[in-house]
Amino acid sequence: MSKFNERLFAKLDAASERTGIPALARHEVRRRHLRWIPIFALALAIGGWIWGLARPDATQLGYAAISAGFALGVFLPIFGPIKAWGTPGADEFDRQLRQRAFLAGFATVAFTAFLGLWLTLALTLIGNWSRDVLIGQIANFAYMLFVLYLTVPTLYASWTTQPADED
Amino acid sequence: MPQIHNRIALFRAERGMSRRELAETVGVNPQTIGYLERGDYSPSLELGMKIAQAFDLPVELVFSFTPFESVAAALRRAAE
Repeated sequence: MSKFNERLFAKLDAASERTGIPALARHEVRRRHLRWIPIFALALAIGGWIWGLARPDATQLGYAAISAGFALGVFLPIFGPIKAWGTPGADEFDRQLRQRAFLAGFATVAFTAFLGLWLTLALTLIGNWSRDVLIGQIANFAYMLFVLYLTVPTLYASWTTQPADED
Repeated sequence: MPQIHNRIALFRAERGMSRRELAETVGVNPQTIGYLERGDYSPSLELGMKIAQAFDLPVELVFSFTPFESVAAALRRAAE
């Protein structure tokens, strides 16, 4: 192999390593405390939901914002501090953190679902929404709740613990 | 839940042991040892006993419900 090709392939290898995907495939993901990304994802999702409620004639923009929040949220369980069930190397601290974080997440989802259902019902009656609008609103709301489920545990775990050095 | 104080950092330093070495001995992640030393996490009975065993000490010398006396204060008291 020529020197040029060797250098080129080395650079391509280094570039692919920087994406984090090879580490993901080797199960060597470096987990981080993600403090601001979940807030940003939540702001997008909640903002999109509220936009949909305020403008029932143009819910697509709200749906797009919730989708953006969802797109950020799906990466949080992979790169955030909470290790998935059955992850090799997860110890008692990881299990306790996951337990507390998901408890906070489920409580948030349940509370928001309770408030959201009554709010949707009230706005349906006030605005005299059609069947199609109501279906769109419920779809948006369910999607937003899913983003909450994805983001709140990472948000909780990232803000209640401080990173600890290995050595 | 009452905070559990510990002398892990002290005994680890005394033995020249890194967090990673202690973590490998007791079967947890090195970060968990960091959380224990900082007092951010109270260990299970099993982990507490494993840590005490790693230092070859009774568990009450490593963990306590009341804050431990500082090394300086203990030395001063011993000198008197």
